[in-house]
Amino acid sequence: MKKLIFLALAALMMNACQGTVDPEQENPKDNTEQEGPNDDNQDPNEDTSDLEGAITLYAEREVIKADGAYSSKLSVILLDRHGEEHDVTSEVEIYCEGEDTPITDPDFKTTEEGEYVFYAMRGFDISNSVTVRAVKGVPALPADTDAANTRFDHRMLLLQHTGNECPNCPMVMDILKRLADDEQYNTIYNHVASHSYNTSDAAFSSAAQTLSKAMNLTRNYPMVTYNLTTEDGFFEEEIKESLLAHSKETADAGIAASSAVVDNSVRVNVSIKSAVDSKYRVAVWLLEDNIHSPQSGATASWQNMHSNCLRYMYGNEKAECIYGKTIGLVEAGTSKDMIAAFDLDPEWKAENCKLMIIAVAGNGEYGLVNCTYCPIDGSVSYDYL
Amino acid sequence: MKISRYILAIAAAIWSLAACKEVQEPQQEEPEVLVPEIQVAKSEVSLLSDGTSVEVAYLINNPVEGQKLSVVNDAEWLTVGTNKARVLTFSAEINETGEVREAQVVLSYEGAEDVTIEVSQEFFINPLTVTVSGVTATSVTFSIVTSEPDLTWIPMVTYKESFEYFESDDELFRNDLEYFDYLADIQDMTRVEFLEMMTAMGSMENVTFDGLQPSVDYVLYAYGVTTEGRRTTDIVSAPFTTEPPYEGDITFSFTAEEVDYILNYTITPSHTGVPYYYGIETWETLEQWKVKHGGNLRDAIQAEEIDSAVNELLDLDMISGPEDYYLIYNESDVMDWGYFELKADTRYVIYAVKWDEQCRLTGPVSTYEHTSQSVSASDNQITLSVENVTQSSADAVTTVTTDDPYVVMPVRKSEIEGMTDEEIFVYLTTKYDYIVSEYTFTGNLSKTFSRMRPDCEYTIVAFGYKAGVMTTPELDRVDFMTLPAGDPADCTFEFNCEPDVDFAFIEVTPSDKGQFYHWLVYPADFTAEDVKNYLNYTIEYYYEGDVATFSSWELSLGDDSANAWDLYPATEYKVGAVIMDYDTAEFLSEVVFSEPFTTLEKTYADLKFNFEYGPYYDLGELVKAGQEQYAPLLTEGNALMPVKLTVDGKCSAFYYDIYQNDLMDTETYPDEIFYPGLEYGCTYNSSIFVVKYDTPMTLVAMAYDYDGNVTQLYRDVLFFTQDGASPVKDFIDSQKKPGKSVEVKSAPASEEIKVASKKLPENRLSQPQIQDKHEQAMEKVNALRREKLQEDLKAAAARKAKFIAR
Repeated sequence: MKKLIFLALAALMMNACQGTVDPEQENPKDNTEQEGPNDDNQDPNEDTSDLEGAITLYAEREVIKADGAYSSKLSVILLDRHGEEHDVTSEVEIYCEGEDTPITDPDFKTTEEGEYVFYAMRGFDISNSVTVRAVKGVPALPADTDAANTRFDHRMLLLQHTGNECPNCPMVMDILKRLADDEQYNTIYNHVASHSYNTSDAAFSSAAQTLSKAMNLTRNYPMVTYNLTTEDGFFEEEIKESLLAHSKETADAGIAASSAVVDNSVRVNVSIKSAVDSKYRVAVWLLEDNIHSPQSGATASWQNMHSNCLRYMYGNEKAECIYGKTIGLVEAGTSKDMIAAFDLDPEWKAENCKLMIIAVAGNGEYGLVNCTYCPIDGSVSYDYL
Repeated sequence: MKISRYILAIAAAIWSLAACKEVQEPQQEEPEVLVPEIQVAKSEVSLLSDGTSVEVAYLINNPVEGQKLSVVNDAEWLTVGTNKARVLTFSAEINETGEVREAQVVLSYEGAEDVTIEVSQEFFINPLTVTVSGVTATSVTFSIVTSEPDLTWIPMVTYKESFEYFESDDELFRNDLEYFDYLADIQDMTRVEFLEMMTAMGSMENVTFDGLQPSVDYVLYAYGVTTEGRRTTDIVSAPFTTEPPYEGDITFSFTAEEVDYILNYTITPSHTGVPYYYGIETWETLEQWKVKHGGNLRDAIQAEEIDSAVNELLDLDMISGPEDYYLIYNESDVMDWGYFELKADTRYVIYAVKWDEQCRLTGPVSTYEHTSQSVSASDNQITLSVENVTQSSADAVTTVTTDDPYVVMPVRKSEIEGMTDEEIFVYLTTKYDYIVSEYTFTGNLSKTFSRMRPDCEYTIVAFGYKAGVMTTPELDRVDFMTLPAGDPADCTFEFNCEPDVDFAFIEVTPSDKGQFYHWLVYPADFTAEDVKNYLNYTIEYYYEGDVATFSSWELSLGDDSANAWDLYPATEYKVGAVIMDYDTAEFLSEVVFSEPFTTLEKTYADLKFNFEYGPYYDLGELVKAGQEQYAPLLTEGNALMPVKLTVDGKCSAFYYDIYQNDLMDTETYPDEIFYPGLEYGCTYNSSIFVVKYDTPMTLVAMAYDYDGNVTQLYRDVLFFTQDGASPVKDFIDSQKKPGKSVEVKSAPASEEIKVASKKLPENRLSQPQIQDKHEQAMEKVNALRREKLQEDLKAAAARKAKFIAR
């Protein structure tokens, strides 16, 4: 028995020494919002060795560049019997599945592409498993040409719920065309068409169906909704009023992004630069232009060709897909990046595709902060005022 | 445990300080020789009977570099995973042996004492049993007993033949899941939301499914299922046969509730399973009918309601006989979805009476009377004006003082000339009864009414309206005259034609917006005479000389645009327009043509079909050889022909089928006429067709690539004779081969059997029709299950809700 205690102590001793000499360690509370640990009441110097409770492993990023430098910080949080969270990263062993020895640096980085499954052990307690995907071919972000600037142009999001067999949808198509040609309005919003009315529509996608079910609660077509809310509109004046009501002089965050297609997989590098202290979520959607789908009730031939059609939303759960993945706190004047990687469906024409990047404030409510298009195999810079 | 950890933690803290200090002041003592030791979090592991994995942590104290833990497992049923360092993962399949099973797992590490972990797994007890406790002609009552009070489950009833069609629980469950997803989708729900609504929890007694058919073999089955759609138990089932229908007279009881002039009512027959007819009519109308039929209500309903409707539908070719009407309107169970829009202050009668398949009423009529509420007068002050009068339109502008509903409707002035307000109201709400709701508004209004005649007197009327009653004391009206049109001969047309592959977007712009005209896309070689002949033919034969209907549907006024569909690729067309008299269909101008345009070439998918077919087997011989399951197919054809298909290339979908006749002539039977109907063809790699002897048949196939392009049609004409049939032993043996069983599992033969009894219609633009008894049977099954799930499981769900509420 004494020997057992002795050996356990040896392991703890090593961790205890390491735990006091890493002042640069980023507080894990910044990692995530819902998926991550709570920000509050965590003291990095707290002695947690005598605490009991379940441990949960978090990864700062789900996707990283396989370049040996870009990392995903792994952290472990213990939930004590009082419901309080404690960072116990320094006193646990974190293993990568298939490896015999624990990783030595919780700031995980690698040069090998693949999916890495991690779990943590604290004594005989076993944590959940998390997966970090390492990919190559992630394009560099465009250079920030005005690093001190935090005045960003604002774009709201206009979602059009439509379908090619919707006989009244050309009415809203006409309205949106007029808005797109009107400088008073076309500089204040970005447009996404959610073809969810009929599955036989060449522009239909299950992502659009999911999105319209979540946003277009009345299930009326045609319909537009704004900024990922269920506020809807149908008439031209009504839509114009809503656009003006939601428009802002500046946005709280700017978006820079770049993307590349590697072996039929899209790599997206996104950076959110914030003008205020705020947590953010980042949604990455794939849109396709020039989808030919004859429109019922067409009043003009251009209505047979559809653009900005939602094809895919990156993420696993519905909330992740629509509102984005959590990237955590971004302090004012700083930026935080996220990488996304997903495969292209053979039915999508990559040359006609582009991305819609959406920054959503993740401070308890999902408020859309800004959005921008990003070309496939191209980039978009922060849109400064 | 907590105490030991506390001690350990304190010791650790002390030790760690000492260790840190030790680094600063190294000790000179000889290190102790440490012996490896295996430590495990637990030495006994109990696996759940359903096979859920369990992880156990271990630690090698004083590890020796290069050495690894050895794990020896003495049981075949148990798997011990070692892919995670310091973690052993114990897993097993569900234990269906009926006995607790045990195993020992020995951990070894050189130099350390072996550690043994005792692993056990309880045996699985089917947590669900179902017992049928009662059967009537249209219902089954059953009880479910669950071993766990929180087990969620779902019951289903299906035809016996349908139940037996599935070879395994998994197949049946997969089919059910697809069905649930379909139901969820059409109700805009997720699967979770749907199953939350439909599943019941724990044991239940006397759950009843109704809506079944008399004298039919069914199977009741149930299984545990999570709201995510994971099946948690085996499928348990109980077959039953419904009672034959009651043969005596039946009576009916009624309930009715009126809310805002909507009557929701139910009809409950004294014996379910007996066919009956029901309806609702005003008392006044029924009395009038009775007078015509000697005071006999049943005769009155028979003649005035049923026979007149049957005759009218027969005249319209919408039914082929009273038996079709019976299929549409027959009811045989509790009817609890009665819905009727009432007119105010009116006496109504709901009636129900037994009838037969020839729509003959055969029993006493049961009735229920309901008098609708009165409507209060409206003090709405409606002010009507007419603005922006053109040759064909005018804007009606109203201002109102309350939110009470009112009607605004345009009408030819001559229609209501000389009528009083009351007479106008009665005229409009009688003649246009079916569309009054479309002209009913609330609040201030500015609405454009179009398709008016030029140079013609119109009246727009406005009056308060609710439930068939004029609620304002008087009717407001404005008379006006539309602007005159010019001479038809002076009207010119501009055309914009934007052709695509199989359609074209057409814009027609007449110089005179007050002329009614007809336009259509015609073959490029059509002459003006051809167009006029075509239109005359259309009026005479398609509209049966009904010019008013023709004009209403076919004539345009002002600028018009639309996609013109059903064009052939790479074909020259032109648009023709001609001004016509709205009332007489007389041609008022010459036919004007656009410049010809040519539809685009079709891009075909570059895919290759690899068919395997040839041998066919005589159905009669198969039955003689003991393959009784094929006996029903003898009425459909003579032989079975297995077909296999694979497609080379990036194929997103493929379809194939066999039609009667030699259809190889692409001029007579162009590819386009096959595409729509062929999408109902076979979609599996393997199929078995029922074919006929001594008549040509054509195997056809199409496939799509990922760009949505379709292939040119694959065709092969086939001819079958009894002499050419292969020995049935080959077919029977092929069905027994292990390799075959895999294919049959993925594409069950019974599902794939298609009856090649189709005939191409005379009209080449129509699609071949498919007759498939199996599909029809499955559709019946699905229809039954759709109805039953939604209607009857609500009762189970309601019970569940009540239990939770307690």
